[in-house]
Amino acid sequence: MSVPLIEVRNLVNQFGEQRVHDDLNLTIFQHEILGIVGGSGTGKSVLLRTMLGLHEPTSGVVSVFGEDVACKETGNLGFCQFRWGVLFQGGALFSGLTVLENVMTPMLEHTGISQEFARDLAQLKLKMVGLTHSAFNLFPSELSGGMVKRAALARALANEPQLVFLDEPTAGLDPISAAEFDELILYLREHLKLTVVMVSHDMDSLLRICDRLAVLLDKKVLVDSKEVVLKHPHPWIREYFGGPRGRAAQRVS
Amino acid sequence: MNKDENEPPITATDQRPEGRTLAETPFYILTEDSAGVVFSLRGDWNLLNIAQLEKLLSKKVLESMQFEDFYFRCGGMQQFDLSGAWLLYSTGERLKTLGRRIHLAGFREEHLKFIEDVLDIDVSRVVPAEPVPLILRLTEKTVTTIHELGLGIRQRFAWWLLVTRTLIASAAKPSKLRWIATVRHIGDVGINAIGIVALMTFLVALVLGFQGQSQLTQFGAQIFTVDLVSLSILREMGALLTAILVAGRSGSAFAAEIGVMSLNEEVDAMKTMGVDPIEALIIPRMIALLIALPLLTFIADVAGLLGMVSIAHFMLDIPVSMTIDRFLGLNPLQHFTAGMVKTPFFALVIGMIGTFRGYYVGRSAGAVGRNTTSAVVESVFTVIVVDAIFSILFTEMGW
Repeated sequence: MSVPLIEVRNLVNQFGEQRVHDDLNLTIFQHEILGIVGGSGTGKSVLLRTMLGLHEPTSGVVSVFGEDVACKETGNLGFCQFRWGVLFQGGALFSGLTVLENVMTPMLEHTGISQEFARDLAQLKLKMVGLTHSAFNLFPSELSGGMVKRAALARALANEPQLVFLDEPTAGLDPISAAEFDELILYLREHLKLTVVMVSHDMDSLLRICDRLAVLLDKKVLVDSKEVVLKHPHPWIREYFGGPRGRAAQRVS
Repeated sequence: MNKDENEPPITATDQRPEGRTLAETPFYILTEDSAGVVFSLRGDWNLLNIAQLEKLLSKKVLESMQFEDFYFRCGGMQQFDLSGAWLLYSTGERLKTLGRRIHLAGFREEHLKFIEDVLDIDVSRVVPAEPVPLILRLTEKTVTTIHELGLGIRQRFAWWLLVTRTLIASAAKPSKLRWIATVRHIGDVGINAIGIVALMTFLVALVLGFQGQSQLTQFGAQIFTVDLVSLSILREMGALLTAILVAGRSGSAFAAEIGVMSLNEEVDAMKTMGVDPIEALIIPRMIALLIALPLLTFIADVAGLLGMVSIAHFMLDIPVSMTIDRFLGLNPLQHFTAGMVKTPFFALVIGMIGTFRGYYVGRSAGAVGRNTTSAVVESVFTVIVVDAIFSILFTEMGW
């Protein structure tokens, strides 16, 4: 777990007068699960979007798989886009396609495989994330929240990525589904040798599955193993993990 | 497909198999020995290469159908993932149905779990539904279409009633009307459309005058160009063209705006707050249309008459004063009124159809697009139908 996969160097993001990130540094290693936490407005989403090449930073270098994603127009990232998968917060499933077609889309787009083979593979992925046949031909608007997350995860995994970004994967799920989803991510990490970067506020989920935590504080990031982060004296961290919810989650894990 | 447990493990090093070599590709070496045909796999069996692999493998397997036993030695593969595993599995299944024996062996430790995964997951496929005979499908389609048409008419009727009732209630109690929203919509529907409406009717008047005079000069009746253009602009073109343009501009905008709002559950949010969405969303738009469309039509009429004057002056050399005299002799107020009377009805039609299409949108982005399209098509069509009805009425009344 010592091979760096994502390197963020001296990142600055500024919107008008407001500076969200100031000289932020972050390294994400292969095969780890990194949880990004932070209060509202601390720039978790901006950081994620910057790593995905969706947002051009004010200055700084962001390299993923050794490629600089920060200063390029999107569309130039073919190399990365084949090797990462993204689970958006709301699922972002294509509303005009069925679940199965949603998962087939990235495969058909990037490989030359036949429709039939893609369909088989997509079914395999969907079963892997725990969806059943009855859901395959439904449209996204007909799915429950948990099914949307699962289908979106299957789509994120469609191209056998090495790196998966999860934006609030368990938000809006009931505790049982959320716990199942956590186990699923752990299983997939073990299985497909994934590196997982997740933004989450789900205390149980963070403590259960993350190897390291990255806390966005004062426009920078504090990143360390969860044991160290939990004991950090910064008042925000004390409040976040020491509050009633954080303590309950720590007791459980 | 069973993994052959008796088969000795094959490591990455002893790639070169015994026996006669039949084919060699970057992905496998194909050999034949006494037991059968042997695929010694190598290279990357992953999604990157899967399209190529799929073609190569199915071709080679078909060419090797004379053998009873197929051996796959899997130790030489560098990269292997779920897609590679699925390809091996599905090829094996196909061979089994053809009565061949499959021996898969020698997986590397880190590759083994992928093939186990494929075996673990219930891989039975969705059975495609039996194709329904065409005649049945057609009947079903016809029945559902008629049914939906009936539903649509009922739904539309209910919508007209609901909106009209709320409109009357608002008119009776103007303090409840949302003036700020109404004014904003008047800006969107009316003020922003002034330029295009004026330009369009001006140009149409030019075209009408140009075409008309070329016929009328043959009879030495150039002066009748004034009658032709001013009558058609005042009675028909001003109102009709403006209504069609507004249907395209604002009818579609209403359908899309309200459609996205109901997709976004904003309409539901309003209902739970005790805000009547009809009153808050629909009525301001309806009133904006009812105010803006007559005014736009007036501007269109003026622009059209300007076009008429210009063509008379520049092409026919009729002095402006003479054109105006001729025009005033035509009893223009009556024709202007005949055009104007129609505009509130056009406004109602455009507003009702646009908002209806937005309000009852489905739950997908595609539905918003479809409904926006139908809003425009339906309202333009209905506007023309209403216009035709008025034409008949006016003729009957001798207007």
